Amino acid sequence: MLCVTLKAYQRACGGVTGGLSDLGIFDPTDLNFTQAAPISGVAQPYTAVAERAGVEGPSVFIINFQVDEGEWTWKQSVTGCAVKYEHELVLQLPENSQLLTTFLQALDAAGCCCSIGFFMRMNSGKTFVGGEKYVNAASIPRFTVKQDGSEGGSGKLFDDFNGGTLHLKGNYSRNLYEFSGDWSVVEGLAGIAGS
Amino acid sequence: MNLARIKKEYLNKRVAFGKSAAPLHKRDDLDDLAILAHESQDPSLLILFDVLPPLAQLKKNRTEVQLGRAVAGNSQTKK
Repeated sequence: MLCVTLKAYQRACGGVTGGLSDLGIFDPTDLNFTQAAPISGVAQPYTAVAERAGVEGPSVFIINFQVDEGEWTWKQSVTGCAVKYEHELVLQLPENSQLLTTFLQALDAAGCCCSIGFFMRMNSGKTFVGGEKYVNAASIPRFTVKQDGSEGGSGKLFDDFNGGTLHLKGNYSRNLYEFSGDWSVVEGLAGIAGS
Repeated sequence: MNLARIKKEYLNKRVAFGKSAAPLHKRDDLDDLAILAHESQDPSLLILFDVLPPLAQLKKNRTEVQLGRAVAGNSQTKK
């Protein structure tokens, strides 16, 4: 207490499910996230998200990956006081096709020029945000996410996997913040009817 | 009944929060957005409001609405 303000980690007792349920990507320049002021020095989750001026929807693009084949990993490391969190998303995308090729091309362009933002809903129900750029109408330190290390192929046999495994990677100074809104909010930004 | 009011020019703007990303003129939870605007001081939210009541008034009204719903729910159960 005299040197640093620590925090307890005490969650309500109960199970928690692993794995990713849904993923949506966005151009980080398109969206502004709203975040309440810290309470007792503790950062709050994102509570709202809006398309920035000039954006004509849809601003979020849903990625339909193979069920049970989506994973987010993070790894913290430190050198002296310099903290780094390495984030990685790995998603299996079925079928080599023109659609997959052009999708990957778009990701490559985004990674080179603008970065890739993402909403990620876990099977546990929690939604997280990565690669965001604007918070409370101001830019935050750069959180660059890009496609790096994706791989794929045809397989050899009828029952081999035909498609690609997408890798999105990004380093940042912290772990991801949660988004408190419902997933229907993300679907709404994706222009999915009924949301 | 919402206390907060959105400026005409922003009625078609979409701010995604809670359970919807519908345009603001279709939302019935504008007071919740007003509370988020107060708590974040996000200029892009603050600018949307024609009428932005004080935070305490918004929270009090929300509590009363919730209590009203609870009372209505109880009376329905009794029937």
